[in-house]
Amino acid sequence: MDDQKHYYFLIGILAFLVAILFTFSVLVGTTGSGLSDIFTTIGQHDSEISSLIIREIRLPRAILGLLIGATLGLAGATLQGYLRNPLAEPGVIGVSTAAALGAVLAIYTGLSLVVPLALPLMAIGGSLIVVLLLQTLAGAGSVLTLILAGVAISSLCGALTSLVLNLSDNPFASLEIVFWLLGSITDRSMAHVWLAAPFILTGWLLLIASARALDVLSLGEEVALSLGVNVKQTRLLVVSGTAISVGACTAVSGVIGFIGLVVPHLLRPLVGHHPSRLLLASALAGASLLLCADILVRIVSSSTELKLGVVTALIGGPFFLFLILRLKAFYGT
Amino acid sequence: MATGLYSLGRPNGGPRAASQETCRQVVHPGGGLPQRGGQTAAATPATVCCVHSRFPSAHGLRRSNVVMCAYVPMGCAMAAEQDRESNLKKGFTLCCASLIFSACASVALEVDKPQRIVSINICTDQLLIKLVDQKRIASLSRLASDPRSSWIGAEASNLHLNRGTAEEVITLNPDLIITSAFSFRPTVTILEQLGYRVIQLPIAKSLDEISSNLRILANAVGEPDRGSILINEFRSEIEHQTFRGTGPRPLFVSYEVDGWTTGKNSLIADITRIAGFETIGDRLGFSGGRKVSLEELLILQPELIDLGHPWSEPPALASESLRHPALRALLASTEVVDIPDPLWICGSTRTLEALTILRDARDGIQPRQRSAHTDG
Repeated sequence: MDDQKHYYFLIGILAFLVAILFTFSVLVGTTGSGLSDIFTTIGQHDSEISSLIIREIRLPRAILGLLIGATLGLAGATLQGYLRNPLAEPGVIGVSTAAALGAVLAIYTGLSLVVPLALPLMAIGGSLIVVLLLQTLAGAGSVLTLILAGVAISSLCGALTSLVLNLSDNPFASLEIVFWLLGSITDRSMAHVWLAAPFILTGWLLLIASARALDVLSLGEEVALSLGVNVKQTRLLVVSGTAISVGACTAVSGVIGFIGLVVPHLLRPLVGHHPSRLLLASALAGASLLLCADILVRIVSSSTELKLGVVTALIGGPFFLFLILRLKAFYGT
Repeated sequence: MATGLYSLGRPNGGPRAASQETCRQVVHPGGGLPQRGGQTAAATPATVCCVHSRFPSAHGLRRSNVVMCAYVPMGCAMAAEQDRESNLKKGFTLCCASLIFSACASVALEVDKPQRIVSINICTDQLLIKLVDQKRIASLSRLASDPRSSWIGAEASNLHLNRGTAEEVITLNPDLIITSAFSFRPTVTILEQLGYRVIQLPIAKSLDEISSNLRILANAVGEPDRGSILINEFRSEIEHQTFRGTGPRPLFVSYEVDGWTTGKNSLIADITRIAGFETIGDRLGFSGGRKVSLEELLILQPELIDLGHPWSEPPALASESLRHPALRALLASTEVVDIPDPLWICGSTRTLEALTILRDARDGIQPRQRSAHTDG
C-alpha cells in the first residue's frame, strides 16, 4: 500500500511541523527589537520571571494556537466533506461569527462573570443554531444557496456583534469589535485553556467519528444510504462536533478566518481525495498555520500586534486565489 | 482611560494647533457673533460696523488685530451696500469711527466677556470651571459629569450638558465655544464656518502646557487676572514638588486596562519625570499611546505601577487583562499606586494631585538592581 505509506509520511511531517512551531511559539516573545533579541530574551532575566512568562503567557498562547488551528482545519475539512461543498468553512458560512455573537452576549452582559461556563456554552449555542439552519438549507437548496445563506448569516451576526459592543457603556467594548471579528490569542491565560479545551476535544471526537461516513457520503447521499451509512447519525455528529469545537474556540479567540477554507484544499490532493484522511491532516496543518500566523504576528509588529485574522487572510487569500487558478487550469473549463 | 482616549483619536496637529491658538487669542475686538443679532453691538465700534456684514466678520474675527483692521473698510463697504435702505449714514459714520479707533488703540481693546460659553470637551470643561463663574457657562460636555473621567461632577450636575454635536451647540446660542484638539474635526469646522467663535486648546502634553492653556483660555473668557493667579499657584506648586535627587531613577508605568501605556511627549511622562521616575516611553523608546504586552511588562519589572480605572462595569474583555495570573504575580512584588484617572486624563489644575501622589511614592522607592540588558 504505497498510498497508505504516503499518507503516514504526510501525517508524520505535519506532526513534526506542529511540534516545531509549538516550541517556537513558546520561545518567541513580543519583547526585544530585533530577531536575535526575540530568541535571546528568555534566559537573560532572572529565572523566576522567565518561567512566569513561559508558564502563564506563552504556554497558554501556544496551546490555544494549537487547539484552535486544529479545530478550524478539522471543522473545515469535515464540513467540506459532509456538505460536498468546497466553500464550506466555519468562517464563511457564519458558524464562527454566530459563536462570536454568543460569546459577546455572554461577556458584555456580565453573565460570564457570574457563570464562567456561560461563555463557551453561549458561543456553542450560537454556532449550533447556524449549523442547524444551514443544514436545513443544504437539504432544500443548491450549493449556491447554502453559501449565500452562510454569507448573509455571517454578515448579520457580525453586525449584531458590533451593535452589542457599540451599545455597551464601556469605552473599551467598541475597540474590542476588532478582536471579535479578526481574532487574537494574545495574553490569554491558562484559565481560557481550561475553559475551552474540554469542549474542543469533545468536538474533535464527534467530528472524527464521522470520518468513515464522509468517505461514503462523497458518492452521494443515496449511495451512502444504500451502503448502510446512518445518514442521520452522521449529520448529528458533524453538526454537534462543528458547533461545539468551533464555538468553544471562538469564545476565547474571536473569529479567525481562512484556515478552515485553505487548509483542506491544500491537502486534498496529497491525501488522495479521501475525505476521512483529510481530517487528521487538515487538523495538523491548521494547527501549523495558526501557530505560524501567531508567531508572525509577534515578530512583525511588536508595538501594536496585528490581529490573527489579518495574517491568516494575508497568507490564505493570495494562496487561495492561486489554488483556484491552478485548479481551473488543471481541470480545464 | 487616558490612553484609551488617545487611541481613539490621536490629535493630529498638536504644534500647529498651538500656533493657531496663539494667533487667535490675540484678542478679537467685540468677540461674539456679529451677524447673530445685536447682542454684541455694544462691544466696540468695529463690531458694530460688522454687524451688517456677513463675510468679512467671519474671517476677520479669526485673525489678529492688524489683519482685522485691514478688513474693516471692506466690512464697511459691504455693510453700506447691504443696508442702504436703513441707516446708511449712521453706519458709515460708525465705520469711520471704528477705523480710527482700531488704528489708535488696537492693543488696548477691552475684551467683552462672553456670557454664554459652551465647552464641548472634557478637558476644556475642567479648565473653564476654574476660570469663570458658573452663570456664564451655558453648557459643558456630557463627560464632565462622569466620575470615571471628570472631577467636576458636582458642578456639572447643575449645568446643561451637551454631546458635542454642532446642532446641539448652535441651539445653545453660545458666544464662545471652547474645545480641545481631541474634538471631532468636522464639528469644529462647521461651527467656525457658521461664524461662531471657537477656541481650540491644544492637548496639554506637559505641566507647562497646562499653564499655557490656562493663559489662552483666561484671555479668551476675559479673566486674565484670575488666570494669572491660578497659573502662579500652579507653577509654584510644581517647583515645590519637583524631585531633585540624583542617581538611577526607578521606573514608573501607568499600565491601564488592556495593556495601554503612554510614552514620551505626554502629560503622564512629564509628571513621571518631575516626580523623579524614569518613564516607560524613555525606556522602550516610543511616543504616544501604545499597548505593552504583559510579557514586556514582566521583563521591564517596573518599581511602581498604576493600574488606572479597571473599567470592569459594564464588563469588557479589556478589564479581563487585569486578572491575568502573570500580572497578579508581578503585582505581588511591585509597589502599586492609585492615581485617579480624572486627575490626568486631561491637563487641569488638579493634575498637580497626580504629581503629589507620585512624588510621595517616590520617597519610599529604591531602584531595583537590573542587569545591563534591561537598563539599555
